Amino acid sequence: MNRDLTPNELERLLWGTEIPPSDDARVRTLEAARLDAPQASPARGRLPQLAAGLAALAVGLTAFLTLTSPGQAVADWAAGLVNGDRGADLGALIDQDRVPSPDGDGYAVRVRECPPYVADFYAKVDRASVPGSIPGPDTLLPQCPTPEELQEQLAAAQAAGQ
Amino acid sequence: MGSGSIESSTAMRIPSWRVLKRSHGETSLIRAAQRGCQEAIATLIDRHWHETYRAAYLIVQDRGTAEDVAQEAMLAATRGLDGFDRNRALRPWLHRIVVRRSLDELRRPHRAREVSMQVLPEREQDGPTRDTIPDDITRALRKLDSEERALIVMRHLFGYEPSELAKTMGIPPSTVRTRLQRALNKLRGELLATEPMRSQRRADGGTP
Repeated sequence: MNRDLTPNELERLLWGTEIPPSDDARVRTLEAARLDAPQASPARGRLPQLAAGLAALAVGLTAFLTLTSPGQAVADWAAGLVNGDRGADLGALIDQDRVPSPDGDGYAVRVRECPPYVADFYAKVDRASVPGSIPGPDTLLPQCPTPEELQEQLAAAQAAGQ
Repeated sequence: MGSGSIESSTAMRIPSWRVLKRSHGETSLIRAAQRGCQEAIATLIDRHWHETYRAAYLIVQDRGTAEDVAQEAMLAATRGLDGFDRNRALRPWLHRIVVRRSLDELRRPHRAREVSMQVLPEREQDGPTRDTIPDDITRALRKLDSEERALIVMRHLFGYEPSELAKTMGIPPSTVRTRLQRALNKLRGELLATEPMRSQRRADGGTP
């Protein structure tokens, strides 16, 4: 066997040599990361604070909508939030609806690449009151939500918080 | 709010998807992971697990330790994503983490597995198992010290230049080159030395 050990030969040996399987460890790591995630991202798992923020926001938003007369769906949403006790993380709800994308990461489009009503819809929410939970212009979504889906997300947010 | 239809939403979706696929695959994943998206974190781990584990295994030369090191490296990376600059590549960052963790593991004073590693050649007499892979390159790597193995892995598995290795390892580039050359010479010697043994085993009808 020729063992000149050129860089190419060594690279081939290092990548080609058989090593023990590690799928179990990979699965354990995925599970550990899943358990670890709330600590890594405090924005998640803050539904109680978020709910309080949303409720307070909704009061102000309703007043704003009354003055500016925007779309009925947003007004309905805000009114619904006022009547509900708690809200939910919209970002989490969107994540639940993720669909496969061509590169496999599940994200297809940014909010600002959707029709304007999508960004307008999310922009009505005061980010300072609900940090990290409402999609912004650069947030990646699985797809552009229709007006009906936006309303469904909000309805789900209300339902999840009750 | 406007009254956009489903059709208009779909029309927007297709070109955006293609743009993202071309230029934002991993970046979008990292961004999502930084926001705490568990699926994005899982996808990043899946994408990088095998080469991370391979590097750890080649350096620490023990399955259990390599699994521990790879897991610790992955979790350290995901925990550190908040401060990660998305404009930089993720792989080199992961590579540095796993190499450093591998070396740290081998430097632990009470590391029992270090002892078992030294006797692995004798274990080959029991025949190959999935935990003791009787590959000549793996066997030859065991004759190198841990830092030499790390240099070989960084240079010839991942393809880093000596100047990059110098930064990662914290030693001058000239020292990297010297140590790499020494490691390669030892590796070459070990491979040549094991060739007669392999030929003998083949002639005896044993493990190839």
